[in-house]
Amino acid sequence: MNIIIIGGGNVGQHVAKMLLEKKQDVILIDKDEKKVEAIRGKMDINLICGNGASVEVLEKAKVHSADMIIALMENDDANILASMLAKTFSKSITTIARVRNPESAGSIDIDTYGLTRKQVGLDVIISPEQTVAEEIVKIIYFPDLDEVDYFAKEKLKLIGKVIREKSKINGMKIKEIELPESSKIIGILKKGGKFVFPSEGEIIREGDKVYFLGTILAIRRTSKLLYEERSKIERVLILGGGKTGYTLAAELESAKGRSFITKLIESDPRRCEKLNRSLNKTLIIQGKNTDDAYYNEEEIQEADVLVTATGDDRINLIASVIGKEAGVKKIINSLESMEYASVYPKMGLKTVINPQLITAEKIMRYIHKEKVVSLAVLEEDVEVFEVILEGGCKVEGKSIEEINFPKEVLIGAIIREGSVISPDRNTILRGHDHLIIVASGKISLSMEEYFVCH
Amino acid sequence: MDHIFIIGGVLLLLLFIVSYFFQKARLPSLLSYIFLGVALSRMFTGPELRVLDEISRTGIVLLFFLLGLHFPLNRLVSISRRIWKAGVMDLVLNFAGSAFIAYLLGFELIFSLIIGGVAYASSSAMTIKLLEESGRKTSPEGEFKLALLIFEDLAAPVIVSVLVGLSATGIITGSALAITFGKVIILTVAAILIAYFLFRKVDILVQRYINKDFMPLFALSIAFIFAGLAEYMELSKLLGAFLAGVMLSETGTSREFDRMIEPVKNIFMPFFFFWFGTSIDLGVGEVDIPALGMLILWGLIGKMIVGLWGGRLYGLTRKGSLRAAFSLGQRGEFSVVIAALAETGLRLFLGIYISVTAVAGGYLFRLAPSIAEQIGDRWIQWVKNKEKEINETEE
Repeated sequence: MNIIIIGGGNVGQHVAKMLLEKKQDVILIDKDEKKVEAIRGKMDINLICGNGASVEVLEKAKVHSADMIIALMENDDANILASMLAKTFSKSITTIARVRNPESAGSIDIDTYGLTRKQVGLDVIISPEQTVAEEIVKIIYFPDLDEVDYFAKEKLKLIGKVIREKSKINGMKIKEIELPESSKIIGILKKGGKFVFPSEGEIIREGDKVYFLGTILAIRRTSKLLYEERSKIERVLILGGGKTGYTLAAELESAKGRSFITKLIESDPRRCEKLNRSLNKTLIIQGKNTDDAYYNEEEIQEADVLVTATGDDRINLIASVIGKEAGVKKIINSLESMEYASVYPKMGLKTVINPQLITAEKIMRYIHKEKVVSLAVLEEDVEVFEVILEGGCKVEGKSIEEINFPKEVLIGAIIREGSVISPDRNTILRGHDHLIIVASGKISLSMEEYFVCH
Repeated sequence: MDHIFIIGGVLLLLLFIVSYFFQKARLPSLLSYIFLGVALSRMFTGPELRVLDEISRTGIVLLFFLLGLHFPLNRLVSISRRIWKAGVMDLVLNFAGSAFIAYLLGFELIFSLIIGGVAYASSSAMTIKLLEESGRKTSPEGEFKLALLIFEDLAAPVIVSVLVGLSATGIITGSALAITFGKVIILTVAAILIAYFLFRKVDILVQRYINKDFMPLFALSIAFIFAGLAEYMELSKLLGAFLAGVMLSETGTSREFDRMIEPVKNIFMPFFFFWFGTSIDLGVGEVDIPALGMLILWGLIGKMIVGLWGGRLYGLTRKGSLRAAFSLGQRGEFSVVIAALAETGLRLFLGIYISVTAVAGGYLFRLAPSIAEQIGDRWIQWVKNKEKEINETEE
């Protein structure tokens, strides 16, 4: 695929790196000369220094023959403009734009001017703050799990759990584990950091992160094997009322069937006023107009979950240390600058949400030529994705054994006409099946030969 | 009222002097105004008191208007969702509870109900002033207290109408009660509709002229009209002023309005406390000291339970709810209104009740942070040990 990335910030670079690893043709555009030079030093990639939202630069990047344009500039409007321009050059180009501000045109399906997202020329909108908030909500819902993802319109659930010493399955071989029907182990991230596909003789050990896939009910039963009792989460404290904090609070307010006492601390009085006007269940705490506002020990020590999203990693880190000292059950950090990515784990803070990584992950879903409905990237560049089998493709009517997929591919589940099938070697694939596939990132893009009809 | 400037000037000077010395002694300055009022009460006669009353009403209307400015509709919805449990608890413990105790102590039913009414509401003016003075107004427990005061102001007109009906005729009809309820609802709904359909839409206009010198006139006109309207409907004028603030806050210019009205309020407010002092009737008569002591004690304990338990239900931290528990004892303006319904013999009793709770409440308010700090740490430690024990037994 020919892909143009506009914006060489952290996300842009990360996406470019992932795409290069997947052997795609990438052109990166950035207007900052120094940044372009810096990228040239660390990546073997085509670079253009210029304004990505201008016709001249886009022409130079051969936009008319590109398959995809990913606009990741700081300015929402510039991203939207670049996508619109790209569409005028080529109708078939896929446009992906990062839109941070909820008020920007096209960020909702119909904006205030009556234009739809398509009319504006946007195929996909990526909002890092929204994605981060959604990710944090999942962690708050399932504080005892280390990874949660949904597939097939939330019919299927993927969970990841680091095995502790006292866990029932510690020391067991996979074949010895009695899992409920409709759930299975789809992979193990060994303690040393290597991802292995499950084999019957594989032994689960303490520190391994085991991934399970199954129906919601089956996964609920499975989790009983993993932990005795669910942590009770009642009080959520969000530090920082920026876009992430606000979106998270709004998500928690609309949570169905759950009620949290959500508090949000913000140091800027004007922002507090705005939050008070737009949130209607969250308790907004207006701190002093300084960083000290976030080191509110009294509130932190009583929170079950502490989310740091102040926009400043240093404040996040200090507040998290206070939380750790006070014994907060779960501390979730939203990473601001990549420079601090390695600092959090060193301080014992394990749940760090990296907006760059999440944004890149979301973008990667659209790189696939086959129809990928949803995608999750596990550690070690292993992808789990849901793909719709085109009618008349190569594998239709064949059993999984006959197809002979590469070794690093596993069909986790099939959704056929709304019901979930747990496949074995003899299962025959049919057109319009939704397949949940686990594949190593390196080969995940070469799967199209199986699923797309040519 | 001859020599109005001299009298007014001297009064302002006296208020300045006492509050200066109270500040030096680290005591709430509003207590100084009240004491001054008590001390000078004999010097003022009917017409002067009426003028004082008018000035003080302006002060308290402005206070509630300013409070409303910080409660845009969404925030109001948010806190009303959380406050009703504490509000009902307050009603049961302090109104019904105090009335019940009074009845057990041998007071007649109607007097017991009046005592309940006097014991019910914390003083909004004192609480807000104390919150401002201590810098705790924007804290979560500050918000809890303000929310509780608003709840009390919604419930108060209903209680007043019940008690007025009872003391005048000895009976209360369902329809009279329903009418009062209906009026509260009509006024609130009207304010919400105006806020939603009018003020949200004129925000650009208001923001354009916000720094012009005619804008305070606009703000005050809304405040007074709505307060007056509420009073005309026989509801609390404070509720009306508060709703006016809520409406204006929808223009997104609360801070600017706050800045322009605050100094005016600061001049009027001391008069309110002063008037409150003059209204405390410390005439002659016999007082049943043990009964008074018991009711005062319950008056403080009842508010403590509301602060502590209600505060936790509201979402406050343990220390926050402890601070709330020790900050609600002061009774004030609403209690004075109810006490006026009682016959002369009981007024001295109620006058002492109000002044003792006002002073004790104000004093406890000051101590609340340090009490909360001391008890709170032990409480948190106890909870943590308990959790640890449970975990260990499970393992």
